[in-house]
Formats: sequence, C-alpha cells, structure tokens
Amino acid sequence: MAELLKSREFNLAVMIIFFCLTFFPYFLSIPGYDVEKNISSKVQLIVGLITPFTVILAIYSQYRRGFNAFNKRQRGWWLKVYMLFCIASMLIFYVVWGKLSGPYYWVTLAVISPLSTINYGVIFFYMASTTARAFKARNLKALLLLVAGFIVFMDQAPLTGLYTTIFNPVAVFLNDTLVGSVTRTFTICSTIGGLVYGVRVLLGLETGAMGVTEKKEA
Amino acid sequence: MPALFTVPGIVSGRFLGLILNILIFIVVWIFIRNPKPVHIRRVPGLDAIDEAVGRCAEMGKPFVFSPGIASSFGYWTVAALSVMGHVAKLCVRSGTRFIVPLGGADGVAIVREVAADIVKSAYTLEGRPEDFTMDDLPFLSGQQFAYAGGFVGILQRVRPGATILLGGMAEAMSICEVSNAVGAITISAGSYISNLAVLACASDYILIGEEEPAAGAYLSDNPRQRYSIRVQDYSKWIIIAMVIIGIIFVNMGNPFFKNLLAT
Repeated sequence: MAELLKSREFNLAVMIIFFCLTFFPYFLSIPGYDVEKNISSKVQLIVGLITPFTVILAIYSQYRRGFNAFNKRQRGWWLKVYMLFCIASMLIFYVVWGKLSGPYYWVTLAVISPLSTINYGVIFFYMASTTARAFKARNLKALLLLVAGFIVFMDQAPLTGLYTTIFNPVAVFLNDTLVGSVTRTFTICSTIGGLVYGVRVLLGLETGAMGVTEKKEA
Repeated sequence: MPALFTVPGIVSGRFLGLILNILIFIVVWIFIRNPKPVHIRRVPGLDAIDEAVGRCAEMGKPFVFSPGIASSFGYWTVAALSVMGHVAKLCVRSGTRFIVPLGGADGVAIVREVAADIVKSAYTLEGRPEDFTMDDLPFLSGQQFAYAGGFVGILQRVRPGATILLGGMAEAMSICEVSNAVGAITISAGSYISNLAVLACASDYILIGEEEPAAGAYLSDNPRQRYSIRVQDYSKWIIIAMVIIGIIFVNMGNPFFKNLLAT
C-alpha cells in the first residue's frame, strides 16, 4: 500500500484529478457547481487542519534538536536550553491561565512584541548595508540603476523630499511608468513560466512536486 | 469592459483564458513529443550551482538549501523542490552535507514530507541511503520570524560554503546578508517584485521571473524538458505582440482589443 501511495503514477493521477476538478469548473459554467465553494474550500479546510500539527511538529523538532545540542554540548547549547525552557513555560502559562490574561499575555505583550521589533531594526541595518554595497557603478546599466535609485531615494528622503521638489517629477515618472511596466513584465514572465512548468508537472516530466528524484535519462 | 461575444457553457470573460491555456498545453505536449537540440541562454545563477557544490566539497563545508516558506504553496515552491532534487544529488555525490531548514509558514508542514522524500531519493539513487538523516531537514517553526531566526542561527553555526534560497522567502534579506557575512556563495530567487532589488544586491546570483520555474528543466539532461522551455519564449513573443497591438488600438480609441481580452 505504501509503495502504491508513493508511486509516481498514483501521485500523478491524484494531481491530474485535482487539476481537472479546479481548472475546468473555473472556466466552464456548470449549473449548481461553484468551484470556490466546493473543491477550493474543502482543500483549504484540509490545509487549515494542518496548522495544529505544524505547531506540534515545531515543538517536537525544537526539543529533538535542543536535546541533541545539549547532549553533544554544541556551540550555543545553553541558548537551546533557554529556548526549550521558554517553550515549556509558555505552554504551561497558556494551559493554566489562558491566552488573554495572566503570564502568557504579559510575556506576549511585554517581551515578545518589543523583541519582535528588533527584527525590523536588523532588516533596516541590512538594507542600509546592502544599499551601500550596491552604490558602485561598474558599467552603464549599473550607472543608470544607480541614478534612478538616487533620484527616487532623494525624493522620498525626509529632508530633500519635504524641502525641495526638484526630484519629484522624475521620481513620480520612474515610479508610475517604469516600475508599473516592469512589474507587469515580471508578472507576465512568471505566469508564463508557471504555466509551462505546470504542464510539465502534469505530463509527469517534473517529478519534484511528487517528492521523487529521477536518474538521468540515457 | 464588455466582452466581444459569449460562448454558451463558458463563464463570461474567461473564454480567451481557456483557449490560451489549452493552446499552451497542446504546444508543450507537441514540443516534448518531438524534442530537438535547443540552445538555451546561460543563466549564471543556475550555472553557479555546480560551482557552489564543488566549493562546499573542497572546503568541507555544508550546503544549505531552502525551498521557501510556501505561504501559498504556489508553483514557486514546487519549482524550488525540482531544483532541490538536482542539488541534493550533486551534494550526495560529492559527499557534501546537505541541510534544508524548513518552516516560515504552516504550509511547510506539507513541503517537509515532500522535501524529505526528495533528499532521501537522492541518497538512495547515489547508493548511500544510510547517510540520510532527518536531522538535516529541521523544521524550525511555522512562524516567519522564528524561522528566520533559526535559519540565521544555522548559518552562523555551520558556516556553509553555499546557500540557495528559492521559492517564496520570509526575511530573505536577513538570511542573504548573514549568508554573505559567513562567506557563503548566495543564490536566491525573487519570487515577488518588491523583493527583487534587495535580493539582487544581497546575493551573488539571482534568478528573476520565469528562470526559477524553468530551472528544473534547465538543470535536467532530459531533452524533452529543455525543449519545452522554448514554449515560454514563443509565448512571450505572442504577449509582446499583443501588448503592441493593444497600445495601437487604445491610442486609436478603438475598444476592440480591450473587449477581445475581456472575452
């Protein structure tokens, strides 16, 4: 049975059935059949059920990795111990006092939320560092990008943006015209790539979606 | 926009879409049945994969690969899994440790099983099934920030020789920058436009637009897969022609083309 469930043909057949169930009703008007209220909602429900398992999987995975790190005294093992202690504490807080009051609520409000903002600070730092690296015009294309980036940057920066309007017309043009067309081009290319890729998957050529790696064809 | 005409049995406004979809399916079908040797332009990001694996093998460092957070489980994720199969085989063949940190969204719980099967298959096909371990496919968290934190932690600890980030990514900026900081070759794919600019700056190589969905076919030695990429090029020419015709019609004040697209 396990062999059958893992076989390429079985997976392909399931994929084709679900493809037909969602693809054709989208285009064809079938009386009394609403694709969004039938197949899609049922599939979404199944995916929704996975969420609780994800939490359990994450806890299991973290404990497993944490114990491994502790046993082998890997670098930073004491951080793992602290993390596992926090996971256990939060679980207990949640079960005993609930989510909307007590220590769970306090930790979320007073510790987790403020600490989460660190992520944004880190991203800001990385953005600045990357931008600084990008400010090197090695060829004509890079120079054009750099000039365009500089104009948009100057228009949006608080000081220049507020006190001078020199950069505004060009920045608006770049944002509205060039960025708009580039976004559409990106979307069109990605969609076509996705369509052709989907056909390859349905024809059984791309086996990655089924969790199978194939040997080279002779 | 009013449609030019309606076809009985087909939802109004979706006729042209159905025709285009069927047309692409038929053309790909014909192409893969009669494959011909085809020249595909080199994609530096994909060519660099072999170099990256070789670098890891030479330096004795692990290879870190992420198929993304699969927040919507779109074709980006599935395409990333196709590339992962190829990279996993190369790593197993060269004796490089292959690490796949998973998480970032609840959908990754499904991806995890598929990814494990792919990596396991790669080990089995290369004759080393006993070397496969689930410890190298850690599920970090279903939450975005926790996943990014865990991923960055792995990069800091194992100091990989190369990192590949495909599929939809969470906190790609942080991960790319740390990967850069630990001296790893970084290859990423911009699955949405607002991510492209920062990833282009932070990565050594980047895959743009349709390059990621085509990557599996590009990397495979299967002539049928490679020939199907040509359909993408033809489709793009058709779209470009449609855009030009549309511009002409709109500027002439003729609504025919807009109505045709709404059919």
